Amino acid sequence: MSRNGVTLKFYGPWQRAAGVEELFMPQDGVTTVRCLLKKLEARFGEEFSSHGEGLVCLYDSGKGPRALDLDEEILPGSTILFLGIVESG
Amino acid sequence: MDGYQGRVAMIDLGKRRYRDIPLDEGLVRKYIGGSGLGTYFLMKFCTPGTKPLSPENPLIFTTGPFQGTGIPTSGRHQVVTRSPLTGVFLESDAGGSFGFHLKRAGYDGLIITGRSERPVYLKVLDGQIGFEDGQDLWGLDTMETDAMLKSIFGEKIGVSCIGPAGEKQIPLAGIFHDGTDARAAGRGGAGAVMGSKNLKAIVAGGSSGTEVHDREALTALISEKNAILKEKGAGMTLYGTAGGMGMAEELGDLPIRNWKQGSWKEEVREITGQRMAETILTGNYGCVACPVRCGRVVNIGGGNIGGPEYETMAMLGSNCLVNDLEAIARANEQCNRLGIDTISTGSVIAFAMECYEHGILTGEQAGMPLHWGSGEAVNYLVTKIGNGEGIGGLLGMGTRAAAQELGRGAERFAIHSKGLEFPAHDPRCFKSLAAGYATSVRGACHLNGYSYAWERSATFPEFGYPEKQDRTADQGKGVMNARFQNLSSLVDSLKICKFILLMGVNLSDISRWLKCVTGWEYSIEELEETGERIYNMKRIFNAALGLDSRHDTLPQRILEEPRGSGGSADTLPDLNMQLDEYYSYRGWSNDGIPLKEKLEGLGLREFMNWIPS
Repeated sequence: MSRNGVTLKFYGPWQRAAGVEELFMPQDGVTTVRCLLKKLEARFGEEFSSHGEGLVCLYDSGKGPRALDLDEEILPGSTILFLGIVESG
Repeated sequence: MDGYQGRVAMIDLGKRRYRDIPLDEGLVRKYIGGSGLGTYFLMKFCTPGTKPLSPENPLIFTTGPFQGTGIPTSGRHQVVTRSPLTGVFLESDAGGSFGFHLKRAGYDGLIITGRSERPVYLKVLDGQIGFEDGQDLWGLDTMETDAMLKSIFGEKIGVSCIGPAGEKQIPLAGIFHDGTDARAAGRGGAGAVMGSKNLKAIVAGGSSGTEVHDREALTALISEKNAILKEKGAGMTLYGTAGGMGMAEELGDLPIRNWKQGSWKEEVREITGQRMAETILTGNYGCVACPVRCGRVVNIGGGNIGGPEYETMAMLGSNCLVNDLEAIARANEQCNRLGIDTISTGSVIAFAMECYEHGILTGEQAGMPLHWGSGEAVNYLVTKIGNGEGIGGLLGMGTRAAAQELGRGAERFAIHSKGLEFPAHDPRCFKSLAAGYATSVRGACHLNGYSYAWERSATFPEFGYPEKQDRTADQGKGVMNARFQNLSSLVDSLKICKFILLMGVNLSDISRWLKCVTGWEYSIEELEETGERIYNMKRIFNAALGLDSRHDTLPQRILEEPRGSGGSADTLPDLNMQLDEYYSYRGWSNDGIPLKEKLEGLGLREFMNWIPS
């Protein structure tokens, strides 16, 4: 039986700050990006959030990505991508 | 020969006949496809005396071994010729679906020479090539041309065509594909070469699949990599390349006011990919076999149509101080319809605006005031340039020629290298772009080496770059440029998109894909050497035209004028230092000419007679 929680995947500067590619964060109820960032700052240091460019997405392999607002609710079982720079041309 | 159709067609438009040239294994193992094979054929069928708009100048379309295999982003093709804009070597590539259909038609490439007496279009269908009357298509824009040909041949074909600008042989004209989605081989004037041949379009299609050496293994590799690319490319899926506008401004990379201004923090927010997603975006578009789908689809009234990418948004937007998203999207649509390169067009418009500011160009000459920030002026000039009317006749020659014609100091506002206008990345922000733009074989080009990507965020451990490179340093950038130019030449020969190098595809993946598709073993070192061989071949072409280190230079503004504010306020590149390192690493003379020993080592002995004595 799988545990309740969200899977976090880090890319680019987020990954360098976290030192890991992926992290499972136990979570019984809904959470938000803002709450997740606070937990990650507690774990990886206060500077953690400043390493990314602010593009955090909910990802579904079938539906593709959807950008998340800081206070949007995230359900247990979700996969969240912390993306590095959006590459330009 | 797995991975290839095993032939290219040599087409003479003047005599309306063609013959097949078989490809032998030795040749394709050496030059791969795309850029490599295209350059090889250019040197076989062109001489240093061949003029760009003469019937003898070959216009070459090539695909790669991955086309038709499902390998991620393998739906690209290459166009190689001699440029009417710069006068030197030109390669320009496009995504979309035309390359896929050309290979399905049973060809790895087309070599087109001659000039038809009347407008013509080519039919390349299931191994047969026909010459069709193109009179009814002449004068149509690229989207109308695509639609008309699909109404005749159905939707399961690819169309490569020119617009009115190409017909008029305007040096900023490109070759366009995929109708309203507008995938362009935009840079350097390949559309003018096509127009000079009275060739309006090529229709390609058929049912010839690509044979694969080990399909089962390849399918597993593709499946694994597609899943990664979908995740790592999610930002591009959501916002397209224009999602990078804000970051480019923050870093001091974004061209603003013809490369004169350092920052534009508030205004840029109106013209980002994020803003597009909130307003005019209606969907996204993907080239054949691409899991990322970074292309934009927008609606600005009149239906869904391809939207502006980063380069377009920057060159027609911030570089002209225009922060009206809809005005930029309209200008983008007009460029695509008329068939002109949005990068060079945006650059020459910013040049005209600065000339107007300094009284070198008057409103009377231009036909209207050319104030900074005027979306109306941008759209007016796009139409004039694309139709070759009025002031457009002058500006359509490109910034170098227009500056020479205007005189009175206009040359200091012409931001180009070797006659090709700068794309939207600044060597004062990413230092490697200094040697990169200066030595680029087609003139200023960010994709010739793509080095700045590794100064911005990406790493490439397998290639000796495990950390992001210091963008403010000059040291090491000569070597870095040479190596990434080699890599880019390889990737352009395989015909895959460079973006996937940022998303976890490395040389080991490419080696494995090649083994699965062709059965051939390439070590990582052999892959890099193949890229080096191809890059040197392009340099030889330019050397034969009289180009050397004196032509590897940059505009005064970039070398001597700091941006003044923003993320790269007071830094300037040390081009000479980078070039010394670059030539030395390349094994070229101090004059920038490939040495005979180097060419022998790369197996390019047959082209040694191109080197000036």
